[in-house]
Amino acid sequence: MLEIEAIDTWRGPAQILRRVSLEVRSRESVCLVGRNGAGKTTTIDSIIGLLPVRSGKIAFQGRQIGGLPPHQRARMGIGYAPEDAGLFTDLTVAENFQVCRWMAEASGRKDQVSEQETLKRILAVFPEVEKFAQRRGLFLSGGEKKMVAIARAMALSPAVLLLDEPFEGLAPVVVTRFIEAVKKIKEMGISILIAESNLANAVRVADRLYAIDRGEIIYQGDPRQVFENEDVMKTIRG
Amino acid sequence: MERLKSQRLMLGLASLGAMVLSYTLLSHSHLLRPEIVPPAREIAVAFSELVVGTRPPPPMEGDVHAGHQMHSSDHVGTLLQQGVTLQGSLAITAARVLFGLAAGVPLGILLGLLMGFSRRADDYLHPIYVLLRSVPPLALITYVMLWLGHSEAHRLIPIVYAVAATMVIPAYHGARDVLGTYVLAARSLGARRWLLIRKVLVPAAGPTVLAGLRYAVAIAWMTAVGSEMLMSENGMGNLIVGGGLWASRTQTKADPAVVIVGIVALATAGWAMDALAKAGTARLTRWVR
Amino acid sequence: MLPRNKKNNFFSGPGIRTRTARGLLSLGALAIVYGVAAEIGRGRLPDRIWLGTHYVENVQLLPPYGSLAEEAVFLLQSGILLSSIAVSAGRVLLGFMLGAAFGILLGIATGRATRAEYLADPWVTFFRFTPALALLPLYVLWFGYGEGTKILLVASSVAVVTLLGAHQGVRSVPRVYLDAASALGAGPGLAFRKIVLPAALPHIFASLRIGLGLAWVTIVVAELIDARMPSLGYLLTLAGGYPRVSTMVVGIATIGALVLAFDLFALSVHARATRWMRRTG
Repeated sequence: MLEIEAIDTWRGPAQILRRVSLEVRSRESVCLVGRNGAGKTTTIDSIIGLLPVRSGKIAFQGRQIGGLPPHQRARMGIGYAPEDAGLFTDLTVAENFQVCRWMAEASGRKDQVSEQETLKRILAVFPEVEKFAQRRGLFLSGGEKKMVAIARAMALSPAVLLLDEPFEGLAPVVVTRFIEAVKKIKEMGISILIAESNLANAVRVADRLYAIDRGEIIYQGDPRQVFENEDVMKTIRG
Repeated sequence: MERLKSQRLMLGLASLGAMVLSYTLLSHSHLLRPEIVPPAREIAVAFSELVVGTRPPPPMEGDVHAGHQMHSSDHVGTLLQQGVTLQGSLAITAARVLFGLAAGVPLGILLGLLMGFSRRADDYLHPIYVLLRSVPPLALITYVMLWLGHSEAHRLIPIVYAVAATMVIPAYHGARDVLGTYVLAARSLGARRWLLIRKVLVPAAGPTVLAGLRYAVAIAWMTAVGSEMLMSENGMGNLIVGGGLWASRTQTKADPAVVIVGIVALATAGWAMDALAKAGTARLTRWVR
Repeated sequence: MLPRNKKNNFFSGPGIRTRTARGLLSLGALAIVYGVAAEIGRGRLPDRIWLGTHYVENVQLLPPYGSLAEEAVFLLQSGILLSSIAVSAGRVLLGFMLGAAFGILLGIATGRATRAEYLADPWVTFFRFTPALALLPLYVLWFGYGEGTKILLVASSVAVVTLLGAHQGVRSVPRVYLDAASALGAGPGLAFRKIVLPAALPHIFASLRIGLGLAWVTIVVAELIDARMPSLGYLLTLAGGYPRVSTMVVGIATIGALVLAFDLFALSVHARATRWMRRTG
């Protein structure tokens, strides 16, 4: 469903990604693993369009989206939760979710999802959200913020969800909770691409695994077999 | 992204270039009288005359710009007679600005900090401050003249007044916004009052105050030039308006070339002082952190 | 000495009654001090002033309240004061609105598009560091001595301030917000209306308030330098020429009162707008 073919991406004068290729199929959860600075966030930003790609192709549901601005890619069905959650801190959590309502109003989509539907879907995955739905973004803990970020990304009923380091900085108990949530999201039919620096977490949640180092994909395949590959392990573990 | 940075210089230059070009075209097209839009050459001439301080020899017969006369205007003549030079005037105005800042800034900061830290002082002083601030400093100048006559003090007082009034606000807000938690934290660590003020309150309020300083510099320039235009026989304000005092102001025909030279010189000087203030602020705030 | 913190706000601590009382007390004290000084000075202050070229007799340096009241009544009844106020205030308002509109629009443009900012940069810097008053002779040369010149001058200084305010306001939105909105499907227009504009408004309002004060300062001096009847500046000039101190004092007081009134009005508009914005999210 999501096909990235040999993309090169620069940040300023430095080339970060070199001919990165990866694929996310239907109803699949894929993890992109690597050390800090290896290019995980850059890959995700390239897919959602926050960073321009200098060469290579990005296709979503068969369409080339390489030249489209981020908001159009989002409306096509790509959900995105950034590394630092990017919540609108002045708005309450509920208002953060209502962002999808603005989009619907603005684009006049007929198939717009109602507020109730969205909330129901979010609560199915993160029932705890109900407790702090009226709190302002400023007053949430790190874990709550990330929860809201993921939930908000689901607001537009995406077909694929891009999560950048969703488990970072969370207590192990909370990580487990999040992993359950990810699995539930997959059951709902949404594919997921997760950028993750912790291999153990990645293995728990991934159907397939890519490893990236210094902007190049160095492994792709079954998550459990990555442990047998010594070179890759050394690179990822640092 | 880095492409934009290099564009910055090009676009800025292009913008300036377009202005110069259109100006030159306009002044040479004889659409408007040369008294209004002096050609660049006249401006350059005025500039050099004012810098050097003397008149050049009279222009020769076969002058290129024979369409209109190249002449040193009355304006420049008057100034030169008084021995005025561009750099001299600029120095005088700058001196007034610096004096105004030196006197007004500490005054304003003290007042602002006092009102910010002490609720009591604020209650008593705030209405008076608001009242005083509402009066434009230069409106006072005629009144002050009656007391002090045409003296330097008479010109400097509005500048000091304006600077002080401007500096009160950032000092006040800087002091007020210092979170009570800072004070509580320091107190719980056993800090005594004076130490508290020095090490916690002042650095916390510092950045806001320093930011206000740049604004005060701009106000100081404006007030200085204004007071010179009204009441002084030297300085840039005087240069622009045409020399001579008070009553003869509106009679003198100001030469646009001189005015333009003066404005550009003022803008440059103001920019230089602001750049200094900005650099100084950056240094100090780093140290404070 | 009470440290101020977020909880120690306007309504806690000594009640608002005490604070108002204190304020009134100090104002009253000031009024009394002036009255006393004027009385003392009546006999003792010099009443012969050297004005640079000649002496002037019979000058009251500190006119007592009686003379002030007399003068104020005269100016009001003859209509001089009111027409001066009308003219000066009118110029301020026109110049302010013109300058603010221009400055805000341009500031938003430069805030949004970096290229626009780079193009405008030399101009903005130039106008920013040129004291508006220095432009007066130039404007007079170009546009003559009429109303337009003064209004344009006011507009120039207001435009600079509001441009900077709008620019900063637009720039104050963290990049992350814009990216997040974009990734949620918000197009540039929508993001601007819902995120950038509300974030910019406080900055814009602050700059409007500063600009209003600046407008008054500019107009007063412009009127002092190029004095034509009727205007407050001209009133001051005339009073300074005689000199009639009581007229000067009344004039200065009037200007001060107007500036204050305008500022309070701007403040209340700001407060109301902020409250409205908060309610509609």
